[in-house]
Amino acid sequence: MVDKAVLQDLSPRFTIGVLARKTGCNIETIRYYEKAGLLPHPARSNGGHRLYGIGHLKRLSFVMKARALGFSLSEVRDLLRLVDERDRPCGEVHDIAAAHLVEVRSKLANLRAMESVLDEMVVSCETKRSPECPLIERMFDEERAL
Amino acid sequence: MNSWRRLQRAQLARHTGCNLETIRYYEKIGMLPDPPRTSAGYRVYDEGHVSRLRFILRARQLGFSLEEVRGLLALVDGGAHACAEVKERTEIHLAAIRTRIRDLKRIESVLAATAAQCSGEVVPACPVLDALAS
Repeated sequence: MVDKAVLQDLSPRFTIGVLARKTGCNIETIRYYEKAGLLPHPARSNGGHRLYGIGHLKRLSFVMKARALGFSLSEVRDLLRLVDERDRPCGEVHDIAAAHLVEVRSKLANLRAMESVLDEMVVSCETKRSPECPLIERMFDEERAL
Repeated sequence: MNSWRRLQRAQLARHTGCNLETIRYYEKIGMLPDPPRTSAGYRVYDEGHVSRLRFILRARQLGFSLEEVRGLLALVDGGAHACAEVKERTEIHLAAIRTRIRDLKRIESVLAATAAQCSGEVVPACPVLDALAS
């Protein structure tokens, strides 16, 4: 279970470089997430450097994992909001995840259609001995849509 | 080409199912050659434009990036000798598509498995959020 107290622990412990190393996230990306409102503004050192807490670390891992699963930035923002307001019903999280799953499946179907046509094109290139390039011909072909 | 009716841009759009803005964009970035104009200044497109635009649309449907399509068009314009290279580029593209399919399948199974644990009950025990936070 997500520990809210840990998520809210933003007391300054490490620099952006350390946070980047610990999470494997790019420094630029960390700054971008902060600007986009996905990460809370960190405290600053006397010299003005950003100092992050455990909460930032946890939140950043969450964002990265969600991004790796293909959630859009705005979906991640919604999910984080739900994390922060954990008294909300689970149904809302389920809706976001379910909508995303539908999207992923439709992308998959699309890619599979592309794959089969491309594969067919490459095979026809290998088997046909015609003066015309079957790949090019196929893409000029009016009749056969994807 | 003889029997081909010359088309205005809106007709080209309708004919190919391509957006007007998109046609404009392809012209701007040089993927479609500038069409000649009538004396009144209207662009007129011929069969060559139609088949080139069809080619671009088909390639985009197959997931080729704009840069890849541009490369393919250069091969087309270069003549018949490019067949091996067209094949090679298609294979590279196919491999990239297969990688994306593998990635998405993994994503799909994680999402489906996590969502299946959803009870629809009141948090704090939300498996989706917990999976992301763990």
